[in-house]
Amino acid sequence: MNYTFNKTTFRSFYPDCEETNDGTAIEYKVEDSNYRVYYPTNVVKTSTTMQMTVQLDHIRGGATDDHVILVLNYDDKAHLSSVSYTWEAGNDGYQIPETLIKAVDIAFDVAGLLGAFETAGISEEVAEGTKEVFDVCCKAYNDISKIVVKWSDNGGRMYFIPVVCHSIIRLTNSVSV
Amino acid sequence: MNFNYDTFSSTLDTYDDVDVKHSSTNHGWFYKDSKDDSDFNLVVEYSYDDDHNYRTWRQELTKMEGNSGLLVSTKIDHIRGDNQDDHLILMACYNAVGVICYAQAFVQMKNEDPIQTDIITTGDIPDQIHDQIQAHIKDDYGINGSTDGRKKIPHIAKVNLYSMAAAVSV
Repeated sequence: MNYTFNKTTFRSFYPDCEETNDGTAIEYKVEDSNYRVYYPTNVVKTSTTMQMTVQLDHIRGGATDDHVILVLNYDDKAHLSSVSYTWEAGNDGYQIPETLIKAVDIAFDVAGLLGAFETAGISEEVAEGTKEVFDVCCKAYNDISKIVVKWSDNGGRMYFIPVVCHSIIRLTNSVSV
Repeated sequence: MNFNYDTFSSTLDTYDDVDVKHSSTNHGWFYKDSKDDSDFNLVVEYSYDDDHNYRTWRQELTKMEGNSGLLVSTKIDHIRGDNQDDHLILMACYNAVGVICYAQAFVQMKNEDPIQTDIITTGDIPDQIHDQIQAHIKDDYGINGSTDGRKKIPHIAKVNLYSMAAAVSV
């Protein structure tokens, strides 16, 4: 398998973003806060899998940024098979230790998503990939938000979680095989 | 799949007691910071009962591969004057034919326990988000607690979700 990550495609998913940190990251402002998303590093390819590591920062001006590190794993169809994350809040010492989410372990009842695939003429393969990335994002948003919402009343720290979820989908949409 | 921001704010303006401010200009969307003309600096502000004020930041969108779904998220501020705003973070997903299939909400209020809903994927999703937030809203938030404005947060979540649904098309 020949896996490709298309950086130009990825960047195009972030409106009004700027490339920063010597071209290793993009920064954008959304919902009144600023975020930095690094391009994937530590890319490991085998004949049937690809793994990449992505760091994201919630930029906090004079204070230490909040950091997230994602390790994303893709299968032989370039579908997202799992994501592990670590979450570290700047300054206040809060963190979430490395946690793994596997698409195959999630059993959400999202009949509303699945039922529409056929009506809209979405191919089985695309439908399968969408279900997997959707499941992972929903679980990540739920699990992480329930912890982070207790840490502070900072809206930018809280909105960092949707930023990470959007980024997981955008990264996945930039991988092809 | 598309999200029509003007349809969003126009729809929001149609709900009883919700009044989008200066809606005759750009359907109520304006740059929060007048020196920054980037899209994500756009907000729409509205009052409820003329007394309580809220702000929705331009929704962030990601399309799933092949237009097989659309993830939409937003931050909504309950504006509290000299006191810190409350924040409502909403994430929702629309299926390949543009119908909502998922939502979950979190609410932050300074010095109060946060509110979270379950993952909602069936039934009238905006209505359930409303009811689950409502179940945790207190009767009285005390002095400077903006009690009446906080009591409307469940309703604000619901009308935002309905207006987002109106804005989505395939």
